[in-house]
Amino acid sequence: MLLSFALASAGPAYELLRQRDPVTCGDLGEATPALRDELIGLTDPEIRPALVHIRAANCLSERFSADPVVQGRFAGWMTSSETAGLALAVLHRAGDMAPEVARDLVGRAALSPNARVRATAMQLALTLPEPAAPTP
Amino acid sequence: MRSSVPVLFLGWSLLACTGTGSTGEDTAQCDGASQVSTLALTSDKNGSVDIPVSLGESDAAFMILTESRTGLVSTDGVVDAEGNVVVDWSDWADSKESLTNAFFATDEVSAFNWPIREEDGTLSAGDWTVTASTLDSGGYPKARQDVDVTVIRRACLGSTATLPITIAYAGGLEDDAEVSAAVEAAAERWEEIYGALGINIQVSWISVDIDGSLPEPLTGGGDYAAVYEAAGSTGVVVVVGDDVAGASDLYGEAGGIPGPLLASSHSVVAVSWLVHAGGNARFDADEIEVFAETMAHEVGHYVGLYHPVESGWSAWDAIGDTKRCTSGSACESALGANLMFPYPVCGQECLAQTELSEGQVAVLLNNAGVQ
Repeated sequence: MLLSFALASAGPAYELLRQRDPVTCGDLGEATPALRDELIGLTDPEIRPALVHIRAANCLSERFSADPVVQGRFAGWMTSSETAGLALAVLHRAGDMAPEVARDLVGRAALSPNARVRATAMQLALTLPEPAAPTP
Repeated sequence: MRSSVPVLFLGWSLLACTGTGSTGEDTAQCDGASQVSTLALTSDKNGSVDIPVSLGESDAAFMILTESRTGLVSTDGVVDAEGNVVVDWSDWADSKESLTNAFFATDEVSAFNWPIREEDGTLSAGDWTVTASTLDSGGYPKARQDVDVTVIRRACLGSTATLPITIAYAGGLEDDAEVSAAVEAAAERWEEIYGALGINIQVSWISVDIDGSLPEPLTGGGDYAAVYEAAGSTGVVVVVGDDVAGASDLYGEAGGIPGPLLASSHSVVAVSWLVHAGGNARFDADEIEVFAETMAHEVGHYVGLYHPVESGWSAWDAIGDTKRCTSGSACESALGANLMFPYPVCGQECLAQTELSEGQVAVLLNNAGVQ
């Protein structure tokens, strides 16, 4: 935990995401596995300021939502009260994800122990596109 | 020669202003009261408009809000009652120091407060003129455009300085006990921070029926004019939502430096509770401290303060007593505890950012919204 905190909080992504001013996920550079892992590290609750967790989750949503490693993280965040803030951050970006990924996350979030995550999931369920009908 | 055509003048007392007699002349009374008047003007063939500002003996600050329905507006300068140019936008256009956003034509509303700094001097009674411009979307002068102008004149302050604040919950947050408790705790801490600087904040609370994903007030949000009106405020409205600026996930953003003290699409400070609470959506003491500092910081922008140094370390505010530095490490060392530093300085814990220089406090006290 301490090692991951030290590594993540010393990295270039941390330096960018901690700014008060607007930053874009594109400013983080190429979408490499190293960047993915750094962003996952920045969702550690020990990282300060807490803004960094939310921006890291946002950038994972924007740039890595098709990555199975990240999808696994997202799935876990949806159903734990300890990661309700990360779940909300990801759900706020669900409209930009592949519909099947977004639907899966919304389905999990509907079972969250956190009321605001559940309410957000219910709202999203009304707006996400219907799954495509299976072709014969 | 510039010409402008005043076609309407209305004067009324925004607050209980005991210094106004039937002749409209002020007696010198320092009660921090404001008087508001409106003008409908038309720019000349060069896109220039002269705004008359008649100041009384007790007036210590004024704010000019210029609005166009047909293009961009900027505030260009001030001429005092003796005909002296006391500030001109061209002196600041390429400066590495920032004085006011009003000089830059980025929107249909320009909010300009004068004086800004202690070094700008004091007002004198008489007929002053503020110059403004109407421009097209490319920034070129646009001739003969109608503008609505609001002039807020504020008397010198008495023994106390008070900034009225309305905190507005968006997205149903008032029903979230944990979030609303954290916002209230942060507001109390903010009162302490400003109180230590000699400014009382007077907080009112409302809920507004807008989405919790808040648009950026700096670029203009569709519902913010209605939110400001709902607050019935003469001060600053702080809207608390889930997020600000969508993907940018800002702590918060002010609608201008300074922000307008009347209803417009820029007339709020927007803050996010979620980025303060972080991944677990719960607040610990450190997170409430940063939340309080964000509200104090963003409202600091709204009443006229810039960052003492910007994050590239090559642009600064225009205040004489804020320290100058030119690298990240030097600036964190010199200014990291300043309330207006561009980001929280954190290791395992975050450094308290509650300090302002005397020059920065003077900027706050010169804002027409401080009574």
